Amino acid sequence: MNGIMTGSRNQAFLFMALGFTVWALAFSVLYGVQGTGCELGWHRQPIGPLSLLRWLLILIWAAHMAVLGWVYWRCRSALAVTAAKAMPEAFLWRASMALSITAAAATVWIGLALLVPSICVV
Amino acid sequence: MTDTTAATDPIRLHKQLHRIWRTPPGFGRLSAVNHTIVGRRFIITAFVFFGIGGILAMLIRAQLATPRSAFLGPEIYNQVFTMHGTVMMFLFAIPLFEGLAMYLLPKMLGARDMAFPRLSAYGYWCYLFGGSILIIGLVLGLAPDGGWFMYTPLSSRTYTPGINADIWLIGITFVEISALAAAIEIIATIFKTRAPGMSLDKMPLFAWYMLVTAFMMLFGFPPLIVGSILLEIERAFDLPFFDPARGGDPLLWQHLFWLFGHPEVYIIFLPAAGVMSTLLPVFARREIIGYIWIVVSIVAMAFLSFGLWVHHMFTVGIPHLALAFFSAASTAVAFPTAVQFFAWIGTLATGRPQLKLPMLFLLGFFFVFAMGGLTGVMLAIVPFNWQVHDTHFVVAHLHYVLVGGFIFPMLAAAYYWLPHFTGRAPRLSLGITAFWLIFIGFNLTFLIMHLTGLLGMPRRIYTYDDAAGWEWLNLVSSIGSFVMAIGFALFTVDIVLQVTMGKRARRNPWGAKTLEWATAMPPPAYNFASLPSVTSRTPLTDARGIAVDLARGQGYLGFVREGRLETLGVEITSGRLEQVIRLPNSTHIPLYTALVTAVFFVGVLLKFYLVAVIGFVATIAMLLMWTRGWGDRADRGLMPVGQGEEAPPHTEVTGAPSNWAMTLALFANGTAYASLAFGMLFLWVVAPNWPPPVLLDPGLLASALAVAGLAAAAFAAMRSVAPAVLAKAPQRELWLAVAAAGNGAALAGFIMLMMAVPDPTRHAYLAATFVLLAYVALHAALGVVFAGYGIVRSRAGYVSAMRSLDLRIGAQWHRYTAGIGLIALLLIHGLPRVMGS
Amino acid sequence: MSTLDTAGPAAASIATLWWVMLIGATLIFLFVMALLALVFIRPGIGRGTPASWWLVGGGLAFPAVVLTPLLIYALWAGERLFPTGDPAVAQVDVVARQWEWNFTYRNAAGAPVQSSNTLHIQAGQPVQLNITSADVIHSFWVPRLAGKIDAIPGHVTVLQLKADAPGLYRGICAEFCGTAHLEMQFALQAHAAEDFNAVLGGLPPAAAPDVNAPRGRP
Repeated sequence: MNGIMTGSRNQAFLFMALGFTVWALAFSVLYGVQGTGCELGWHRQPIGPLSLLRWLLILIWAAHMAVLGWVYWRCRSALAVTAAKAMPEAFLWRASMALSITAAAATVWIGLALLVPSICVV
Repeated sequence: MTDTTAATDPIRLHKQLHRIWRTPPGFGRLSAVNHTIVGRRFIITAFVFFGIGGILAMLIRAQLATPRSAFLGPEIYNQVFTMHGTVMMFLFAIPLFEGLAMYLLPKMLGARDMAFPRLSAYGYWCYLFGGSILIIGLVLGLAPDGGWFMYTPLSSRTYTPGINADIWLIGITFVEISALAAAIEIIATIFKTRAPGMSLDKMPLFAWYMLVTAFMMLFGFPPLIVGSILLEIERAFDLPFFDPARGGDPLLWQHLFWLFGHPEVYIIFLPAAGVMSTLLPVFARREIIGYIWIVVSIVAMAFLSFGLWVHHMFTVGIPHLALAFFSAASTAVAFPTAVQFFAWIGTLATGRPQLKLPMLFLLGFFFVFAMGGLTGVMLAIVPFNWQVHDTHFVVAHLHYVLVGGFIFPMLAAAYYWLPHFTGRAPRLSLGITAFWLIFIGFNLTFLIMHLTGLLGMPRRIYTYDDAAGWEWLNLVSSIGSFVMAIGFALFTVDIVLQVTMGKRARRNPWGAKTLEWATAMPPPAYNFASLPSVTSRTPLTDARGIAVDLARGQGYLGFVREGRLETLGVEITSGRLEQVIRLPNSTHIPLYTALVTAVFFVGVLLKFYLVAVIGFVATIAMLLMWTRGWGDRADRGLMPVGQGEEAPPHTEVTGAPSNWAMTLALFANGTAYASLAFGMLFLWVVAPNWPPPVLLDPGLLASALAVAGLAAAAFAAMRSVAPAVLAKAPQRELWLAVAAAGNGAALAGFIMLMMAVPDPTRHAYLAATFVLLAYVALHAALGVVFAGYGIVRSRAGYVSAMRSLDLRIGAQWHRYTAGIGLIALLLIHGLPRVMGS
Repeated sequence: MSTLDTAGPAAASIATLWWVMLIGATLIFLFVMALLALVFIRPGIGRGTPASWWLVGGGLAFPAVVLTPLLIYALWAGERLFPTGDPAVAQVDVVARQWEWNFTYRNAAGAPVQSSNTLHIQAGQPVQLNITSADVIHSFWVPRLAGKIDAIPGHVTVLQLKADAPGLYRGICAEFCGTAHLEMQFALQAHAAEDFNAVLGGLPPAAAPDVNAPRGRP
């Protein structure tokens, strides 16, 4: 095992699930905060051009995008190392990297919802 | 008898293996645990339930064929449509692919059986008994009648006072034991029991599909199980989780149900897509294109499918921004679907396709599923959904998805693998006629049903006016459905003819490249006389003589060691040889365990709670009996496995399948617990009539006792598996005793807290608190059992520094219990403070 | 009862959405089926195309081109169908119960009035319905005017709709609600402006509300 592959031998396998776990987390947290925010009236507190609730949602979204960026970078470096040695893990790192990109795309895609004007039921 | 030299005489080797792997005849068949037999039982039973569900469908279409029909009244009709959906989803689709996976996976992966044969058998009996409860209810006219989605409050006691809803909740929960058992077993099997050399990137795509499906089941079923248990508790003991007058919320049920219900659709679709990806390259006569793309798509699809559940709830008044999340996620699923769709078409386009009978059914899939996918995108669009939700448009859509995305591939699979099951090839094929009858009948029934829905016909009405303008549409649908039924009858006849009168099939009749075709046909109980070493994704192309070589014992384990049933285990990722897994012989104990489990469920159903408690305790006792006399009393170290290689027995490695089973079971358990905690927080934020009239004042003494007990148990369990402690029997037994005592103290603490909850029937907050505490208390009680069991095993000589599997499994449990216990304490202490401020 | 024979702006907007999606879906379906037919009629036709063409082109680019505009259009169209919360819009409280509909008219001059199983609105004017249930879940649906919305005990859901012209429109309960689910139908009568006040004036006064408008978001 080299530097990049510290930890368990099945780390590559775990990373296959990690990208979309971040997506799922983004999804759940956005939905949960949106519901709670409507309940507590955060959508009626303006901060600059947008409401507190919308700022919060955008922030959550961006934080998850950043984490996905880190996952992608991690998979990429591990792929470089394992592919050079033709290890069977290389396949999983390649898949994990593709999945981190896919998860980021899916996060952008659901982020479209943040553009919707009516944030809570009147 | 130990004979570790490779037997070169295939007949002698067969006799040796057959003697220990076979299932006894006569009543001995009830003791079968072999995956080939249990898989076959799942499949046949599922088709019987398909017949029952089909007859119910015919009753629906007969009733709706003409306006103002007096054939069925609303009471009967409501039972019929509820049972049609329930039977098809829970008793047909899921068990069918479980059976197929059980039958195929070990053979495709180059193993002799599933990782936990007795668990397969137990799962089968649970499925059979649970399903029977529902069918008996139907025959007695007591079938559930609130729809397969069982929305509260309609399914609550006030509006459904009879036993009907209980039959659904109890029967389905019983059946779900088999789904969870199958999920755990499929994952452990794919992780560990592959042939040496089969790294994950060389695994057949079908195994990838089943691996992801099994994970989805592991996380998808617990919310429904929790929802069902809460609803049954509300119905039986009046704890108000869904009653808005007392701080409950009917929407909680919808969230829990669809959190299961939408992934469920993909849980059904993915195995069928796995069949597509397995069969299609055979008939295209080339390898599939985009292997890694497909793997990535499956994983993406699995995750995305958990983000769609609210699209069944677009009309419950959720704000647009939240709906938009789910609308976006629902359309996003189209991407991984399209990747697979075009990988299949591209494989056909770049290969040399052959239009054989299974391929014809695959083409039926393309046609029907493409249409279901397109209407699926339409339904993901929020405004359109508002119009057609709960109309016949949705009925048409879901049948296009499920019949297209499941039944057509499964019929293809039936024709494709039947020679493998029976060793027989068809004499005359009625299959082509059957295909066209099913295909034409299906489209006749459901294509125009889209229009019926757009013209305003809602679901679940037992009749309609002649002025509605839906008469001819419904008549055509009904005629089509009978054409389809004739098609299915013809298919059944064709299969029966082939099984009973087919001619001898030659080996690997389709020229497939996957390992299951390297067994004899029909396969022997042990699959392979010796196990292969795999070097590529297409093991049958690499070595044409592989089947003969394996039969001669020229692979791994081509011998019988001390009459033990053995197969090999590998490292998850690399597929390197890691362990020799010992498997159990035929035994009646799974059947007996399922019978006492049935006593528990029937006790709950009939409200004989003392009987239920006895059934529960007996089930736990029976499960502990599974390991009696099972294991090694001496360290074995490395054992020869043939080919000049050696591996330790599974009891002496960290990555034993049963260790994984506990980890996976705790994942499912954790999901159930999270669903419960989510339910509590959801009610707090969303439900009417909060804050509650009275808050819990959790006693400090009880809480301290619970914390101390949990911590002591977790720490003691950790110490008990530390290498220095493991080596000395008195020390490890002492630590196990501490773990037992710790769990006992925690149990006492949680029971004290439960008793401090003022009347849990008053408010959902109190009810949820009570159940949360009871959940942890149950785990602490089982923790006492686990720790005691560890002591028994240690005393009986099954534990040593090398053989620590039993204790490590127990340690996982104690750590987990400590975790959920602390979360529960945080919630019950924190929530009153937050609400009180 | 047809959702395609529209009589109000909401239903009309959704019907347009349907026709657009139907045309798009038909074209996509025919394209895929033609591709599949071609593969069998002229075997080996795709031998020259690299695998990535199928995967990137068919699997990613194709759905992206179709779905992005569809999703954006749908969000835009959906946004306009949500209630505006405009206080000038007439309000009617709707209570569903097994198996009937009760309507209470809050803006009626003087004391609130009520009607059962017939909802009176003024043609050409939007009306906001605040919907709840006294027992199980029901769903309010007038197919020719707008999409449906559930009536859920413990929650109030809001639907805004408008009938372009006077007339009688059929409404039903669209969520399965027990034995007499089918019978739980109602009529929506849209009146010309000049008749409307007289009609409301003829309705009996509302009883004290028996369902407390509960707290909580819909």
